[in-house]
Amino acid sequence: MRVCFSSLLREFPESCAKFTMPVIVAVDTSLSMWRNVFEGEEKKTTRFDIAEECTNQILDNVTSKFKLESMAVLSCSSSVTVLSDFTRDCSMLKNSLKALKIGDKADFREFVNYLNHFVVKTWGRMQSCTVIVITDGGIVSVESLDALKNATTKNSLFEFPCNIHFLCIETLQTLKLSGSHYLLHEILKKNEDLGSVVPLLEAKTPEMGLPGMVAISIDKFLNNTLKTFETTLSCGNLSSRISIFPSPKAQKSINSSLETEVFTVEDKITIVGFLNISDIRNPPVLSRHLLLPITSTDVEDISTHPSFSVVLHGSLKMESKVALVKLATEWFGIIYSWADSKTKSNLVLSILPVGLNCIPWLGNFNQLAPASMLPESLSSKKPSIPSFPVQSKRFMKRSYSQPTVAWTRATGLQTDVQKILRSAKKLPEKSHVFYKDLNRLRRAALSFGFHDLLDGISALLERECTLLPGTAHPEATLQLSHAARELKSTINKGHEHTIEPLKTDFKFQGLK
Amino acid sequence: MSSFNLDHKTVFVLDHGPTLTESSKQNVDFDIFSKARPQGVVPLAPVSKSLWTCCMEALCEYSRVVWDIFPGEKFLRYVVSDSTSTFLNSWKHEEQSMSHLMTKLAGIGPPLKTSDCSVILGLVSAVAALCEATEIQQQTITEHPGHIIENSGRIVCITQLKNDSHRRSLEECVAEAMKQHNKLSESSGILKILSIEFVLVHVKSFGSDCEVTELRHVLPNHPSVTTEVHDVKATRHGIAIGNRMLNLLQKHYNLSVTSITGIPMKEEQHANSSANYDVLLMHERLTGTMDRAKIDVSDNELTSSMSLKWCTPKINVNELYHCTGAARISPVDVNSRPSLCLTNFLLNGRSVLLDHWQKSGDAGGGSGSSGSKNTHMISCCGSDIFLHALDVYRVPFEDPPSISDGPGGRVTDYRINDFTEIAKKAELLPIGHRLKSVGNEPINLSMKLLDRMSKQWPLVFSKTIVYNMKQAEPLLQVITKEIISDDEVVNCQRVIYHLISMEKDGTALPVSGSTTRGPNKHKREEQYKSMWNELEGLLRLHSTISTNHKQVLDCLLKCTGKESENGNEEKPQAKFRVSTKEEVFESPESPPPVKKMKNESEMAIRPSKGAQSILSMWQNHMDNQNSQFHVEFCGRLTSDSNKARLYPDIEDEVSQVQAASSQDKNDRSGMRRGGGSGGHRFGSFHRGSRQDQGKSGRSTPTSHMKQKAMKKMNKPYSPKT
Repeated sequence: MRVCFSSLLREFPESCAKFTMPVIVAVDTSLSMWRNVFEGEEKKTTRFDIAEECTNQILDNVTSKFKLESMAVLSCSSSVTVLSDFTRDCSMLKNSLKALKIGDKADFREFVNYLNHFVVKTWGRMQSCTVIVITDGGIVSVESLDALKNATTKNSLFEFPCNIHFLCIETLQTLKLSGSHYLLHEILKKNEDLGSVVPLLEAKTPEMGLPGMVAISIDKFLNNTLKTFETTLSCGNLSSRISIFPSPKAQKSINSSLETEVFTVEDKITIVGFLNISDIRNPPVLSRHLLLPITSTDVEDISTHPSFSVVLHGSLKMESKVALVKLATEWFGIIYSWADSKTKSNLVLSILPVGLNCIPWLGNFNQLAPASMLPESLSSKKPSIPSFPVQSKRFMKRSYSQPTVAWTRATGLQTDVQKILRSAKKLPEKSHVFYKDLNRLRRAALSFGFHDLLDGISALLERECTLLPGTAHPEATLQLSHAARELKSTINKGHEHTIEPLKTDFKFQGLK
Repeated sequence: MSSFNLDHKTVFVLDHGPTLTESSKQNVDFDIFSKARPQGVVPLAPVSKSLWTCCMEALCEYSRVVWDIFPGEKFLRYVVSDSTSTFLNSWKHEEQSMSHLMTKLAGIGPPLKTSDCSVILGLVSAVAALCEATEIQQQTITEHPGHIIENSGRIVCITQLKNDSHRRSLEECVAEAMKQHNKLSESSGILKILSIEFVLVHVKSFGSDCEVTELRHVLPNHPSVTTEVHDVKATRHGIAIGNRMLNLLQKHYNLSVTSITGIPMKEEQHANSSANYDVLLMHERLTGTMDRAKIDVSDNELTSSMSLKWCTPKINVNELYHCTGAARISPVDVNSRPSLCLTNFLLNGRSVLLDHWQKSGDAGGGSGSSGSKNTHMISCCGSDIFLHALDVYRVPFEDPPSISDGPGGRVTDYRINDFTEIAKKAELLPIGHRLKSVGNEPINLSMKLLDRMSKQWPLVFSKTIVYNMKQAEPLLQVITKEIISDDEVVNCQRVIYHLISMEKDGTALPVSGSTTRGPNKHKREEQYKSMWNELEGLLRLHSTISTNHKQVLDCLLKCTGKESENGNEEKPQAKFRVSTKEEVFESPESPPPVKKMKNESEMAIRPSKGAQSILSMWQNHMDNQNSQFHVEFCGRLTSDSNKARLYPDIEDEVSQVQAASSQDKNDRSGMRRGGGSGGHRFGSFHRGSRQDQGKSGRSTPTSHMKQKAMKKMNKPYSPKT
């Protein structure tokens, strides 16, 4: 009997079926999984048995290929059980499978809710994860789909970037007949088509038997999705082949021609220059990745074969610098030395949001250049070479970096009045401050149409006049009554009018 | 198609009619006493704010926060409506500011008392304003002709409604105006409006019972218009209106309200003690945290959905935090003392780490171990203060093997300091606007620079001789430049001449791993051979940059006996070209050709073993002496008169020629003795070094010598008299 896998391959759109780390394997333990795969066969094999084998195979495969990979195993029916939390320990993961128990009814909504909580508590909402669900296809019911669709509060299914793959112990035909195929694809649609539905069985049982057939399907699935991401990191004529772990996620974004584009990290990423860590000031990033140099295996001892990555790392670490690297057109990242512990440091790539202007204080990336590029005359004439952070000069100052009037709260107005009174008590020395604050208050009152306040302040100043101690400078009285008069009389003189201090004949010589 | 969100444009319609002149019936005490009240003084009677004043104060607060958080991104316009309608500003960037708004508001003054006032005129103008493009929309239209702009907007009308049917007539008016304008947009160039959110803020004084139904609905006959009605009573000094507007603002722009708690502040009265204060901030929701707090629009003070505890500042500016999101902030109460304290502290360039402060065991954020981790940071970047969300979760690649355990990790002689020099030269600065004359994107200049500096760049010291030589440094510095001056060409040539004389003098090369004790002549020849090949390869790679670069290569080729090449006929085959052809020399007096060419395919040179024999020392000494006596300066031999011209290649440069000839006059004797083609200083230096050798009885290419060489090299090139 010949086995045809063409249907399997069709299920893998290359672009969206990529694996991201970490990985969660979820086994559907609802009652339907206890059905035999083929009725009437001598050796009874339940779907549950197959699921267990699949899980083992996936665990083996992933942990052997990716030493740094964290995996978790869940079982799900009406409730979700954690068999093993995220770990790199393969034997622990495999042992946990022994605790797989028969459940009751599948509840996909509960599964999604649990998964959100489970992933976010460990990885946060920025880390993308792969979820592999091993099921007979019946994990999503019409009711649970409707419930998820009606949950209007959430735009997407998952609170973290998620690739979900349904490995179904079923043939494609059966999946379609039972309606599961449609339901699973509806779920994928809600997840922005990130994931796949994979039927593990073929219509005809091949000679190798059931387990063999499933094993081949799983292999095919893993080989298609489980790839290390390799690229060349270059700096001028220096370069190093590196792998990026975890694989960087493609980003859907609008490019400068206003078209939606899927941005992927290119096969060659180029260092365009260097920046000081103190200058880049913790920009927000999408994700961070380990950069591991790769050397062709024909070199005898790879650890003694010079690698550009190591030079780069050493230099960045020593100088507290980052390298700005172009990942694709209009997409950048930063490479720096990162240490998990005091002794072990590594080269790490942080991927910035798509776009040339994604970090306001760095300005447009295309507008960056080394200082040596400045023409001689310019750099000597103007000693102030523009530096970071880039100030957004185009727009006005923020309210907190300039005097601002805010009177919605009574305290706002009271503070402003108190300020005037304080300087009024110290006239004429504080004459400048007094008139500055007075004019500011006058303008604000005019803006808010608060003319009554001006009368009030005028009365206040007149009273202050009477309260002046006998030792006060004679000019204080004159200025206060002048200001009180002016406040009232200039109400109609508009915003631009400024109350000027009264010109007096006193030769002010202090109060000595 | 490019879409602009509904909140891209907001038009405020301000009722400037008699209803708002009404007092809010709420008084504000402006005459308060911070210290003890003087005896016999009665505080002045409080003043009452009109409804208009309350509304304008609230409006200014709304606008302030929008411009703080979305500078140049979100646009606000104001229409004052009485018997006519008047715009206070346009969509232009420079008219989107507090000072502009305040000035214009003062210009129109308090509301009119005439009875023919209506907001209808203002509403029609507001719809017309939404049809106009903002500067950002205009830019999109000009840069991408043919793109369809998705244009929507919000109209916020602050007025006093008579009843629900009054509301319906206003709704109808907006919908009708939109219909008419959209009809017009088909023939004229104005933008079509896709949808409008029409927010009616019904304000009334304290004690008024003029109630309207608060609702939010889509107009049944006009599905693209959504109406929302807010009924606000100006209670508590009118702050109810202010609060309602801030609540609306939070909803309109989907903002988070965060409280920074436990800010230590010195007390005014007691300078020694400090108390802790809280500051309420508004900001865009941070990515990476899911702030699910539902926004309820009420007249109450904003409540924070997140509390962040102040951690005593101690931030290493050279530490990079993994930040998942950053958002501009605006203090809710900008002039309060704690707010001012915080913002001034940050504006001075300091950053503060913050901890997520959870009152209860809410599962919303942080892993179990996040208790001690800093979840946020607040700092000033440029002119704006940003709140950063830091990643507190597990690193997907935690505990990775160190880079020193990976490929190339065990190599110990990386040229890290040299790479640092490259990194320093390619340090980026935001100077693009100063480089307008450059047709290229400024960032490409940086890439060109990196390309030039790394044309031939061995990763490790053991793979290079040239980069180990202090003597070659001036040339290496110059050759990577894009433009090299004629003076620099001369300096490069001088380096080459110096290297020639070094070879002649038998100076040992700083070959890594070599413990050359004594002048193993054969070994040294090989080393020089490698050095020349490396240098030639290097210069050849740069020779295509400019004619001056080519000149330096030509000089080298001449000196090593290879004819200068015309044009680019021969491209370098390998970085370290190993020439096997017989060297041809132009003058019989030139240094003798390298005698035996050992088959060397690699640059690696094995260290020579053992001390030199007395015979070889003697031979070496005699060779040197002899060479001093009988080698004539080739330049002189080929010249017509007794005068030799230095640097014949650059004779077109008058100044160069002058310099060369004057130097020639003064240094002739030195040259004769030195026998090389360099100046006398080089020669004398090498005599000195030979004396050293003579004393110690072995060649010592020590750093001491190198320093000495450098000292001499760095002296200004002016002949001694």
